Amino acid sequence: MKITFELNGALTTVDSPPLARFLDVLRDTLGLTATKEGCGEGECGTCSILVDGEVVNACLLPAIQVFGRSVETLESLSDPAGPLSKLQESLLATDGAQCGICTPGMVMAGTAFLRQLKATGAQPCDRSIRQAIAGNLCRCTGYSKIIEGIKMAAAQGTPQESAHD
Amino acid sequence: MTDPRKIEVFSPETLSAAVQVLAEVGSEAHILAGGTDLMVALEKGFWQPKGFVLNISRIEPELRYIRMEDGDVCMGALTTFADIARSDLLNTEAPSLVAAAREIGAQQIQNRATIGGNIMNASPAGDSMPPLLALDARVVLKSNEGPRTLPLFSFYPAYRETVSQPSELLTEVRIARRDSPTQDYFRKVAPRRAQAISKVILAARAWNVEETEEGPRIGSIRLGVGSVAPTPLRLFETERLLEKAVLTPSLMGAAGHMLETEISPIDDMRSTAEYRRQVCRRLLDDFLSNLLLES
Ligand SMILES: Cc1cc2nc3c(=O)[nH]c(=O)nc-3n(C[C@H](O)[C@H](O)[C@H](O)COP(=O)(O)OP(=O)(O)OC[C@H]3O[C@@H](n4cnc5c(N)ncnc54)[C@H](O)[C@@H]3O)c2cc1C
Ligand code: FES
Ligand code: FES
Repeated sequence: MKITFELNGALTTVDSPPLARFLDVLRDTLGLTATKEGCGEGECGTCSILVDGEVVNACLLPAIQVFGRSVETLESLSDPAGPLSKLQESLLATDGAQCGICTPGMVMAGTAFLRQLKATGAQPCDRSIRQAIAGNLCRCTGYSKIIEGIKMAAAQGTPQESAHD
Repeated sequence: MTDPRKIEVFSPETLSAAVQVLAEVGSEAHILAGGTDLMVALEKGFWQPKGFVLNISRIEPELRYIRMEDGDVCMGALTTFADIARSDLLNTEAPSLVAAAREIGAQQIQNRATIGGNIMNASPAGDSMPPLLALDARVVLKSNEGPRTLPLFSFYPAYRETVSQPSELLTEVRIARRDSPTQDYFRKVAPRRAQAISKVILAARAWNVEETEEGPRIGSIRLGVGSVAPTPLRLFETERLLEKAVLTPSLMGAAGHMLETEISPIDDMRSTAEYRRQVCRRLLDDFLSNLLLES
């Protein structure tokens, strides 16, 4: 069935079975492979994307439910030729990415968190950062370096907005 | 067999259209809300939809709200746990439910998981039901004959079953607004804070706790538990024992015994019956021994 939604700022229509996982639509139908699959059951967070600005797991999202919504994937934060987002730069600087399998999801969950800080004017603390990334598993870094990276990005002010806002 | 992902999905735009569909072919409809339970079941092959799927997510304007109405705090079935966690009204009126919402899954799950889905999924380990039981919640089921409202404590006749009919949609959860200050409790025991299924849950509310010469006396108490019986459970007998009685060590002991007779925990992959029984008792002790006297 035809499903129309906004993808990284552009109106997009895909033809997909209604209950296909949106993760597969992104990767297989649209060729957007920044969003990764880990567990496939909502536990690991590496498939995190933003829907109407909120972080969700693409592996649990039935394609039909993106109808009329605004979706942002990691691809919207930076393009391979251009500069990285502040959070991506910060994670590089703090060694917050090692093997990299969790990184796409961490960046999306972190971006949602940083935007929320900006909207509410709140200050980040370890606890609130840990809570924001509790749905993103990392087997390499022990989380401290990721938390440091998110803090560093927060201290630099606004997170890089996606291309369209 | 057809590929379940290709099954027909109907996405009505209004509540009345959804209820009309259920009236006509409700027994073939599988309701889809946030999908956090159903998509996992689909992926694992546990859910093989046969008829069609009724996707209610487009009825959000009518079913996603938290508001006061006739002295009740009302939540639409499509209210997410993220909505609950950030609601000022619920932070004041239902702190135990807010505490539960914050521990459901992680942010990604809280943004999608709905209260209606949690209640209708009918898992004995569902985290929202113990607080809702302790808050005397009622649920509203709607069919094209009209709505009916029933207390949550009468909603689960058996393991993973509800009294809801195929022609009915869960539309709302209601909690009476407090008329005096309360003391509220929520404790979920699980291996970690996020993304974990509960081993034991206790939620409680007490009010009119008065000082007497022999010790504190609880005016009223409500106790809801999870993961310790085939269904979410309200502990009526334990409540009865504690209400209007002076809270002495021997009464606390008797209440613990009564709790043990009301629950029926089992051994499973997450825990043992014995552990659950002991921890559930300890949680009640924890709540009772930390009750503050009202001046
Ligand atoms: C990684 C992960 C972690 C989780 N952690 C927790 C946790 O900590 N605690 C917890 O309690 N749960 C947890 N869950 C389970 C799940 O997220 C919740 O049960 C959630 O509230 C289900 O809501 P939903 O909208 O996603 O339901 P769906 O999956 O859409 O539906 C669930 C069931 O309810 C029915 N249904 C939904 N809405 C209605 C309605 N309005 N009327 C009638 N029937 C309806 C559906 O037909 C289906 O049977 C977790 C799930 C995952 C994947
Ligand atoms: S792949 Fe989606 S949460 Fe793990
Ligand atoms: S960097 Fe390897 S899993 Fe996080």
